[in-house]
Amino acid sequence: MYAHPQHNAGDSVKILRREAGGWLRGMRESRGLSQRDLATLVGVDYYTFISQIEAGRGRIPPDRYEAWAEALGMETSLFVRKMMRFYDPVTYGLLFPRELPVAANSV
Amino acid sequence: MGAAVLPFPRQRGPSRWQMDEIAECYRVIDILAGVGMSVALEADVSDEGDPWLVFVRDDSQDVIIHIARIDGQVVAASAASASLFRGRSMRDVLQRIVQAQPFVLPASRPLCADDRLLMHPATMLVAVVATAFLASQESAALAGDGEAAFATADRTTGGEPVGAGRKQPLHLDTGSPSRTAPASDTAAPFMTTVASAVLAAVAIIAGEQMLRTADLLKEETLTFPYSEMMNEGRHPAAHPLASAVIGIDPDLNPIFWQVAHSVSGADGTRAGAFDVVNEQSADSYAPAPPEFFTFGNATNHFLVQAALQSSSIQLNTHNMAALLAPTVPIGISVPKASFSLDANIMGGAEFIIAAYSPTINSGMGITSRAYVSSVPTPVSSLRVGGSPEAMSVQLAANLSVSGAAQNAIGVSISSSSASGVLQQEAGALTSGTGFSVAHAQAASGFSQAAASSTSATIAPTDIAASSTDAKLLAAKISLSISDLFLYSGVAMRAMGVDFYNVTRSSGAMAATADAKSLLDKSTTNELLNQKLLLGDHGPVISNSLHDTSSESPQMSSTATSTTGLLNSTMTPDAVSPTTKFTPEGPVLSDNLPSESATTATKQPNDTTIQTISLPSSLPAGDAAAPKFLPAAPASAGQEQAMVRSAAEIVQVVQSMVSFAYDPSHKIVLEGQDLEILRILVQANPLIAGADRVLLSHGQILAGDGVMLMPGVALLPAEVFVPKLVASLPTVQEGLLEIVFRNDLTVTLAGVIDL
Repeated sequence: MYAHPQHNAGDSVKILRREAGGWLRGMRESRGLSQRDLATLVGVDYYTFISQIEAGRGRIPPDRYEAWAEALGMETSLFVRKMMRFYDPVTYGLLFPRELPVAANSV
Repeated sequence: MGAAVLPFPRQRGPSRWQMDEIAECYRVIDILAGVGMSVALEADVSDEGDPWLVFVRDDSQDVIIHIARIDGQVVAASAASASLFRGRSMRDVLQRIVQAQPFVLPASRPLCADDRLLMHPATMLVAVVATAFLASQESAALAGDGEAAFATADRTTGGEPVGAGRKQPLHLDTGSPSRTAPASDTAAPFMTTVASAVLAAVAIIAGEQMLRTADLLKEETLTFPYSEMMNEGRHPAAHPLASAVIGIDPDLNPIFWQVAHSVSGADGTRAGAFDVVNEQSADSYAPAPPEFFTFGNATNHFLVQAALQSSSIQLNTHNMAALLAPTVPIGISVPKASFSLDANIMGGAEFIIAAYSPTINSGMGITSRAYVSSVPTPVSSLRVGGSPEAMSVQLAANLSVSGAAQNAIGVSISSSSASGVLQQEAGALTSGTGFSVAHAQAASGFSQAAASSTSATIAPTDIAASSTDAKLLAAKISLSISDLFLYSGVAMRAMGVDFYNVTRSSGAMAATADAKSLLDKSTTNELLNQKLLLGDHGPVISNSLHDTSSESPQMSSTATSTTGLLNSTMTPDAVSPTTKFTPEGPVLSDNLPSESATTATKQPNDTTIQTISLPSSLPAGDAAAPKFLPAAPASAGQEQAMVRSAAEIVQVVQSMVSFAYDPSHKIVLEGQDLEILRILVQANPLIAGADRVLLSHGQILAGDGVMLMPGVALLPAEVFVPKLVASLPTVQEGLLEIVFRNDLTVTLAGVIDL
């Protein structure tokens, strides 16, 4: 039976997503973009979704990684890798065992 | 005089969620927890200060509902739908979501999503969140990733489907072929769970409604931009029945309609509001209504309202108008008075203070009135009210110290339930020196309220015919009781429509015009009643008759009093089967040359068909032109120039009828003469869209809450006179109707008994 990678993960998920949000906020601000600007670039109709993500609530849908990477001026693969580190630390740890999950650094 | 309609600014909602909104969300969380759905609430603001909140599944931290207020609009995205929903308020958005998820509330059910009264917003929120919760769970199982099932970032507006690559949301509407039904083994528990959550919400909310009224409905009804309300057709005044408050307002004005507009400041403060209120006193309900501003049985006054509202308290300031109404010698504006005075100048002031606390769901108010008048009027009243959504008790006391005293005390109890709005009123008593009237009313549902009322001012069939009206009615009641009012102001009014509401602003003027326009379009008996009263501008007509007496000697005898209207010139003996108008007055056909335009034929049933001709149109200013006739239009394009005063219309109508009418004859008016009358009636500045003339004579015609004063009334097409006729037991003795329909045919709806 399938289990959500972060299902019942508790506080660690919140911490990871909060850090993901902080990182995304930093990337956006470094580009001089407002949340509304970024929403337009990634094709979101309600820009408060950007605020939600940056606050660590929810996550970027995988099918939007490419748009986000482009909006933030990153290479897609690097962006996906970064997001995986926050959103799917289990898979990330298997793929990149030498890099500690973000949560481990944070806790 | 032109009227400028000022656009109201579009409101921008508060920058933060209101406490009651957050409270509703937390209540939803509690309800869902009770049925095994663990959900958390997170709220924040964007970098521009727009608030948002999300419902998050505790187990996966997946966001299942995102609601935000962006640029004054509420937007929402749900895991159960691929669309982004927008609306003016939280309630509006929730309703849209529910409508998009009919498996929660099938449209065919009585408690459909369109029913704005029976579906509490919090109940809808429970349904929406529960659906999203289960949809995200189901999608996660099917897709292998719960987060992917709610691709929040990839949505479009207006219910459009999401872009490529987006997983479709789970649809469980087995009743809709357009939706993908889930497997039967998953749909049943899904729907059962949602239904359980909704039922739990209904039960809990219904219980809590007994104690509180925090209701998202209030936000919509109170801060809805007026222009949008008009466009959406949701305004409480979109139908006169919307604001009928029988049993709610104990201030002896049981029926009124109200146009309300308010503007909200960015911080939730109501920066301003405009109300236009029409109150109509029911004859049998209010034995001593404030007759100083009545026409027939109608009461019209207009309020200009400025309001200030914080999150918990609201104060409105009203300027009360229409308190001065000098009556003409015939006394038509005081229909129930048996006396006749040369002048009955009245003045007054009204001061009303009312307060309402949504926190404790109760309020009270004090009304003080003082008038200088020759007729008895109430001078003070006290009312204490609660919420119509909970059991409430209202007390009213009216005390008078001048003239015939009036003392009234009443108790009304109202309640609502999911199956219908109930209203009960008992023991509303009015007593005083010279009269004693008891009023009791008990009803189940507004469609029956009037039926069981002793006043019976609204035909029950009319209300029952439109369930929407009943809903709007309840909405209006909710609004009126939820308001906090601080009334103050003094105004003057003379001759009724001429000088009322001198203190109102241009915004209120525009609202007034719109309200009347709406009134014209209604078809209910309530409207019929009101339109008749609006059409019967007694004082104006009476004055014109009085003035005419000095100009037309042949009409002088008809102008001495209202009750004497037509009496001396309309005796059957004085009317010939064939009559012709001349500048000097009517001339019997026997005395006319053979080229007279008047002809008479005999019908098989012995009914004489009269063809009546008015005098030939004469150029304006011609000394030979009859003074009681207007100049004929040169072309249809000059109709606007033919707008005449009510006096002229009355003169023409009266001259035709008084000289040509015979109860045993059927009247046919033809040619340019009739065209003149038609133009006068239809282009009159008093009643827009009037296409008929109703002329009554003799006694006051009253029945079914309708009172028709003697005189000439111009009526629009919407007024269904035969309905009135059927309700008037004495119609056969005093009513004549001339209808400009079907290319200027004239219909006789009654006879005038002389």
